[in-house]
Formats: sequence, C-alpha cells, structure tokens
Amino acid sequence: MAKILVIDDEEQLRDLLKQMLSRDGHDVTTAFDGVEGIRVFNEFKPDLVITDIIMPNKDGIEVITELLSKNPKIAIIAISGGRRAITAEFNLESAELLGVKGILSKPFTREQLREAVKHALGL
Amino acid sequence: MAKTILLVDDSVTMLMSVKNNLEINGFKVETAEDGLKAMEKLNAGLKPDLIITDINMPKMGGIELIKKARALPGFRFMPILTLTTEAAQGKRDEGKAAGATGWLVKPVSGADLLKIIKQVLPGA
Amino acid sequence: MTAKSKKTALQNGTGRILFVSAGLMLVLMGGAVFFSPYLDSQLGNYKEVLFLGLAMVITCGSHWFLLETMQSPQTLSHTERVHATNEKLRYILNNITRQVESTLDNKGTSTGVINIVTDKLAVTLIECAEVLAERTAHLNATLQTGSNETLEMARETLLPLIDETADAITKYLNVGENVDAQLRERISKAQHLLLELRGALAEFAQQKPADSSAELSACIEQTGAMFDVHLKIDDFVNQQLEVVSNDTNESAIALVLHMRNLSDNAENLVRYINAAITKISAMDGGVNESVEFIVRIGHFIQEIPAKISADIHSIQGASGVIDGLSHLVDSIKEISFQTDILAVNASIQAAHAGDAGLGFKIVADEVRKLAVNSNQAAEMIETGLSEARKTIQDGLKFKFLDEVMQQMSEAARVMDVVQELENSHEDARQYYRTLFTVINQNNTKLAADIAEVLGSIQYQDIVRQRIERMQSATQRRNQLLLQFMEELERTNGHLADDFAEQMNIVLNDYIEQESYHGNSLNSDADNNQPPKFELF
Repeated sequence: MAKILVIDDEEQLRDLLKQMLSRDGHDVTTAFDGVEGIRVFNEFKPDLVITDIIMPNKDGIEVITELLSKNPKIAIIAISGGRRAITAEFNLESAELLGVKGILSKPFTREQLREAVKHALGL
Repeated sequence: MAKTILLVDDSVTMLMSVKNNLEINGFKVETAEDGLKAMEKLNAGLKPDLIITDINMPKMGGIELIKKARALPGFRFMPILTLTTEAAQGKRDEGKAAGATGWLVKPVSGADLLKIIKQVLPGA
Repeated sequence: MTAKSKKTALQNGTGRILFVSAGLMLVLMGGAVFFSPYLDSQLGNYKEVLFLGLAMVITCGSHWFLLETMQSPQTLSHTERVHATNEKLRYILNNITRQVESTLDNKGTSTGVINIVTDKLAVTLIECAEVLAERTAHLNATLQTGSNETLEMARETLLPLIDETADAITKYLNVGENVDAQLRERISKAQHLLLELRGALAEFAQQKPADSSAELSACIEQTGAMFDVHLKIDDFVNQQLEVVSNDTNESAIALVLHMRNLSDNAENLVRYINAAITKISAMDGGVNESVEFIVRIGHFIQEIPAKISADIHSIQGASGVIDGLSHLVDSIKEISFQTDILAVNASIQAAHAGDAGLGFKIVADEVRKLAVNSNQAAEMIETGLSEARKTIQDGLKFKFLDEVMQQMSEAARVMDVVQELENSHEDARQYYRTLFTVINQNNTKLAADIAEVLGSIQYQDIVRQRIERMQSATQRRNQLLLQFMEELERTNGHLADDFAEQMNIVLNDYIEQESYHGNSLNSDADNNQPPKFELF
C-alpha cells in the first residue's frame, strides 16, 4: 500500500509498529533516531513518516522541521508519550503547529494508528 | 547593514506592496513615481544597492532610466531589475540592451521577489 | 435652396433616380418609335412627328418632375423622397397613358388590332412602370437599410424586369402579324430599335447604376465591416473584463485566504505561547525547589568544617588538661619516691637509735607504706588518665565518623537533586528548543503569508493597466466612429479612407498590447509565454 518510515528510539515500540503496519500491507522501514531517520528518508523516499518526538541526537521536532522545509506536502504522523516535565500533549501540539498530518499520544491502539495513517495518506 | 533598494513605479499600490514586503524583510527602501524622479534622487547622491523599476511610466520610462542610471559614475555594475507587466520578448531585449540585470513580470510573489533579490544581491 | 444642397441632392442617392428617369425616357422613346408606324399608317408622317414630339414633351415633363424630386428639401428623409419620387413617377406614367389613350381616341377610327396592341402596350407600360417604381422603392429602402447582398439582389432583379418589359412588347407586337408588309418592316425596325434600347438599358443597368451602387455598397460594406470590428473590440474588451474580474476575484480570495491563514497562525501561536508560559512556570517551580534544597545543603556543608574544628579544639583542650594531670602524676611519683627514700633513711636511723628509735621506726615504715601507696595511686591515676585520653580520642574519632556519615547521606541526596536538576535542565532545553522551533517556523509562515498578501496587491496595478488599455482602445474606436460619421455626412457616402481597416488596426493594436502583458493569475499554464523571471 504505502511506504512508511518509523523513527523511534524505543526498540520495542519500533518493532511493534513495524509489525502492525506490515500486517496492514505497508512497506515499513525503521530508524532509531533523527539522524538515522533523515538518512533513511532520503534513501527510502517514503509516502509517510511516523516519528517519535523525544529522541537522542536529533529529536522529532528537528526531523519534522527539516522534512517539511524540504517538502511541505510530506505526510508525517508525530507520536509521543512525553518525558518528565515535557508532556506528550505539548510535544504533539508543537508537531501539529509545525504542520504534521496526524498526532498520536502514546500509548495508542492499533485502530487509532490505522485511522491516523489512513487520514495522513489522504485515503 | 541593511541594503538599500530604489523602487520605481507609477502605481502607488505597487510601491506600497513591494516596499512593505522589502522593509519587513530587512531592506531599506527608497521610492520614486517615475524615471525622472528616480534620476533626481540618484543625482542628489542616492547610491542604492539595487534598483527595481517599472517599464511603462509617465515622464521617463524604465528603459530610459536604466540607460541614464548606467551612465552615472559607480552604477556600471549595480544590479537593476525590472518589475513590469510587459512580458514580450522585444521589450525584454530592449531592457537587456539598456543594461537591465533581470526581467520580472508582475505579479511577483513576495517570496519569489526575495529569492531573486538574494540572487542578484549576494549577502542580502 | 443653395447650390451646395442641390449638388448634395444630386449626389445623394439620386443616381438611381437618374437611372429610373433615363430608363423611363428610353422606354417612352421606344414606345414612341414603336407607335409611330401605326400612327403613321393612320395619320401619316405628320402624326408620327406629332407623336414623337408629344413623347418628347412627356419625357421632358417627367424629367422636370424628377429634377423637382431631386431638389426636394433636405429636411425630407430618404424614404420620404423616394416615396415622393415614386408618386410622381406614377403620376407621369398615368399621364403618359392618358396622353396615349387620348391620342388614340382622337384618332377615333383606329383598327381593332391597333386598339388591342396599343391598349395592351399601354397597360404593359403602366405595369412595367409600376413594377419599376416598386423595385426602385425597394432599392431605395435597401440602400438605406439593407446589406450589400440585398442591394446586389435588388440590382439584379432590374435586369429581368427590363427583359420582361421587352418580352411583353415583343409578344404584343406578334399580335399585329397580319399588318401589312410595310408595317412589318417598320415593326421590325421598331423591334430592332427596341432591342438596341434593351441593350442600352442593360448596359445602363450594369454600368451606370453599378457606379453609384458601388459607392453605396462600398460605403455600406465599410459601415458593416466597421461594425463587425466594433463588435469584435467589444468582444475582446468583454473578454478582458472577464479576465480582470477573475483576476480581482481570485486576488481578493487569495487575500482573504492569506489573511485567514495569518489570523489562524497568529491565534494558534498565541494559544501555544500562553500554554507554554504556564508550563514554564510549573517547570520553574520544580527547579526552584531543587535549588532551594541545594542551597540548604550548601549552607550545611559550609558549616561542617567549623563545627568539626570547634569539636577538635575542645577535645584538644581536654587532652591538654589530661597532659597537665600527667605531669601532676609524675610529681606525685617523685614525691612518693623521695618520701620512700626518706622513709628508708629514717628507718635506718631508727635502728641505730635502738629502742629509743623504735617508735620513730614505726612512723618511718608507715611513711614508706604511704609512699608506696602514693606511687600506686599515681600509677592508677596515670592509667586512668591514659584511659581518659584514649576515651576522648576514641570519642573524637566516633563523633567525626558520625559527622562524615551524615555528610555522606546529605551528599547522596544532593546527587539526587543534582540529577533532578540536570533532568529539569534537559527538559527545559528540549522544551525551549521545541518552543523556539515552533515559534520560528510559524513566524516564517506568517512572514510568507504577509509577503503573499503584499504580492496579491500587485493585481490592483495589473488590473488598472488592463482597464487603461481597454479604455484607450474604446476611446480610439469611438473617435474613429465619430470621424466616420462626420466623413459620411461630409462626403455623402463617398468615403475616401478605409475606416474598417483603421478600426481593425485599433483592434489589432489592442490585442497586441494585451499579448505583451499576458499575466493573468492562470497564465502560468500557458507554456508559450516567456518566463516570468529572467536574469540576463
């Protein structure tokens, strides 16, 4: 169906997302941080990027800004669970203001993910 | 230091629109309503970093202004852009021969105009 | 009536009247020639001359009428004049008929054949004249209102009409077949003349009227062509107006959308910043708590060395006292030693003294015991003192350890707090970076929207120029129309200039002008256009 890049520093979630999306028929590639994410993006040229916000090296906000500055039309879904004083809500609201197509607060259900992907791909 | 741009157009709307866009983006803008007024400013010692001029204007048009300005000392390599509704090749050739640096057909979006200005004014 | 107006009347569409009158005259002449043999046979050559004279008089009379018609006042409209002409023509023809009839009546004794022929001829002539008059009226009407084609059609119908007239005459001539040979000869002569007349008429119809109608048709053609171009200019103006309308419409919509974007972005940003301020103060609270704790610990740690040195100082004081006491013990030991020696000497002296010294010896022994006891006591004190010193030193050691332990546990908490602080700092850094990025990006968007709004305003200028070109074109067109009307009036349709062509120039100039300024909102789709930006 669609080529999806998942960027998350949490291995378990990364694998889970890959599993769920692959089962829905998508071609999924993963990256463990922002730097790797951008590198993979340029190679893989996905239709959709699902990125965590708080990550080492290069966080999701930077990834979103960089990708959108190159192509404002690229579909991105931001996912976040927040950390300590930084709430998921703040991260996702920030991502939304930057222009992502969807947001998901961790934890989310399979159905929520499916809906968000569908919406972000304009299906 | 802010770069100075001399903007020449007989349309007040045009002057307002472009002047504000340029000022918001950090340029210093001088304006003139026709070629004659522009030449008066240049003769009075104004030395802009860039001139943007309309072509069809009363009293003195853009082509003549470009020719006259190019003849002034120190204006040989100054970038001069036209901003006009004239789109025909003939007029372009005339502008090029007179010494215009580039030809822009109205309307030019704010972002595009800034992009072009950055091209002709490196470091702006 | 002035000479000029006469001339005008003559020029003003009177070519056709001349044509009709000349035609009538020739028909009458023909009629006269044709009639002459009959009359001749009845009345002789004298009568023939008379008849010809009569015909000439009638013709001249009709000419007089026609000229009178031509000289009718300028105030009369074209149609009125044509109508008047037709009335007079009919009057003349009736007159002619009456004259012919009365001439024949005067003859009184004409044969049946001649009667029939002349009657029918007269009727035919009247009919022909009527048709001619009708066609002339029609022609006039056509000249006034019709197109070039209908004019041509009207002109063409004249020729068959003349043929018809000739045929009718020939047909009725055949009726008189039984007239004698001399008559026949005259008739054939007349026929020949008639044929010549027909030829002349045809030539006249083809040439003379062609000249005048050519002028008229050229005039009409030009007028028509001018109006065609006029309409084309209007069409193009309307197209441009539509473009202008679309441009302003789209530009206005773009402005509204950009404004809406600006407003939305600004609103979102304000909301976001307000939420951020709340979060920042909450985060600041956490940091402040940590800082307060660290400050407290800091003070505590600062006080520790002073406390310890005070303790050490007091303990050192105690040690000093103990050391002092040790010297005292030494003194006691010395005293007890001296006392012992003294007691031993006293005991020896007492033994020398014998019994007398026996009591003294008991005292000396007691003193010696005392000295031993004193020494024992001193040693006990010394032991006690050293024990005390040891105890103090041990106590000092333990107390110090306690302090260290406490310090260590506080330090451990400090480490936690520092970790917390580091986390807070990390969070704050992340938080502010995100905040900065979002606000920065939104500002960029806001700036872009503002730039677009300012760009959209340029359409006012483009539209203004488009309308100016439109105005200039319609102005030129209207001037040309005025000029055309004046020229038409002045020359009575003999136009020297090609106004339609000039009108076309106006249109083409306008179209060309517009092509130089092709820059509608949707003109990007047109790949044939030169680029919008070009650096030489």
